[in-house]
Amino acid sequence: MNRTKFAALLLTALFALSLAACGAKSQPDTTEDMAPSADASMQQFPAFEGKDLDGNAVNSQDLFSENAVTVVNFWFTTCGPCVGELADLDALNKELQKQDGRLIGINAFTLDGNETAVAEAKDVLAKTGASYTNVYFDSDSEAGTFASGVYAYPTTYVVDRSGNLVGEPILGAVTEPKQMESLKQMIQQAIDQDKG
Amino acid sequence: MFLSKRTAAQLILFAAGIAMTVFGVWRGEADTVLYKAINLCLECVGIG
Amino acid sequence: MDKRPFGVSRLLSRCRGWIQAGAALLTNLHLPNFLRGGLYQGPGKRLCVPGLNCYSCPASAGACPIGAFQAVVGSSKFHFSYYITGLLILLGVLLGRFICGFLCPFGWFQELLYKIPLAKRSTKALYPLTWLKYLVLLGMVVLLPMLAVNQAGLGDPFFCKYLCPQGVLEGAIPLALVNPGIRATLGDLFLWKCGILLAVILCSIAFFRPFCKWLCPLGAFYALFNQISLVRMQVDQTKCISCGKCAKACKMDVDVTRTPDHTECIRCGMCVRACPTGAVRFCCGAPSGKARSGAGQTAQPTPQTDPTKQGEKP
Repeated sequence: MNRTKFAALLLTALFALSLAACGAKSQPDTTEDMAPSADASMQQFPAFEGKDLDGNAVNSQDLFSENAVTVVNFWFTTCGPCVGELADLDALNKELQKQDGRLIGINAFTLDGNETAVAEAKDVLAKTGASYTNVYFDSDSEAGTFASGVYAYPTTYVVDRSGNLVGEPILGAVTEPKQMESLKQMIQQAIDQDKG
Repeated sequence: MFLSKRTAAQLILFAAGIAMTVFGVWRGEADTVLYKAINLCLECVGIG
Repeated sequence: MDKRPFGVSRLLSRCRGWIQAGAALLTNLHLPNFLRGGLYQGPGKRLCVPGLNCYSCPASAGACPIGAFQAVVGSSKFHFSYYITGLLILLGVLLGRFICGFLCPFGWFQELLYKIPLAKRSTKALYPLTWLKYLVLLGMVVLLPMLAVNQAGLGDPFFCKYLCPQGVLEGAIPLALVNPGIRATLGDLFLWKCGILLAVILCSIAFFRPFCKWLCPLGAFYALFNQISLVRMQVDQTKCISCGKCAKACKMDVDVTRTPDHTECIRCGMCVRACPTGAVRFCCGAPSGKARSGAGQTAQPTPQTDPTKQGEKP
């Protein structure tokens, strides 16, 4: 067999292998190859029942309905930019509370109430001076599946009183001026919609 | 010397490499790598 | 009897392009992710690939050793990565910079650019720049993530964030193309990284593998093992006629007859092909102490060295 044919065959085989490797994994319910669930067709933030980091029960229904707007920030403990913006998120939370809104965090490591992860998350929050509520829930709940679809960190969602997503999620630290502006626009939109 | 200097260095480093790898995995470093690798490290690719 | 080992060396160096392509594909197996804009999130990402390949590449099947090292060192839990360092030592002892020559996708990328028929320049006069990559390794990969930490004890992956062109080439750009959320986050840092990528691309057309020579921290690490790696180059002094063709063919500015284990040698085998007498070949295994080593001027021919060991690939 001459070299070119052999090479072509080998490359075809490798290509087929790669498609098979992906094909086998890209079943819709697998979490191995995730596409971002950032499309606008996902209208509602999934309802959840979970706990905050101190173990108090939290219910998404109550959480969202008590506020005109809720900003939900996904982060994890070893993510540099996530941790870098925690202090600013705390300031934003205080600002929002004056406007009938609030900010909550969801640390991806703390899902299922992993004790070590919860302790580490509390430690980081304390170190950065962030006092706002952080919640967790089961990873096999609807919200857990939603959370596992978040693969770019940090990601921030804006949710209105009825639990609907407002606008597109913001990827990356909201401390970037461009991102902070988009976020404030969406927050304002939610507040206005709530009044009207 | 039964072993040349080169061979001795190879063996020592090979053993050290195995020991360090095993120790690192045992103390959870591979998990840290996994979490960083499966979530989009925005700063790594020069975004934000 | 001698023809067979030499045949393997010649075959290896002639098939190198295909091997590089295959390695790039195996490293980035999950090609459909480019269209879906997602990442592979399976357990394979615990393992590092040998070459420089960003784990934020949608198709990437494993973790980048340099990125992973910074991630572990920059996390608040650990201050040094035994896992990554151990793995890199193993790879270094086995292969040294053979990895650069055969298995690194970014090296292959630069070589493809070099094929563009525009003016070529020699890098011999720029040899001092080759020391820069050790500074990059020590400073950006090791020290800065370890020491420049925020209040929570987390350090940035300095090399990935500010220098690595591979991440923006196979991560940021493909993802930004298909994901509007990511497009919205692109800022000044992205511009800076694109600038670096462009500079590397342009230099790679004029110079052979400039990133590998001057900036790559992974190549710098493997280079430290070139002197003792199992796979290396060997020159049979009984056959060498000192014609100098090997040194002329070498694009990494190495004279294999004088310094076969040079830190700049990426074991690409161009010298093997250039040699008219078959004196230069790949070698695996550790021939006994009387075979030639680094300096190699006074070695006598070693007919008793086991010929089945030479040139055999693991």
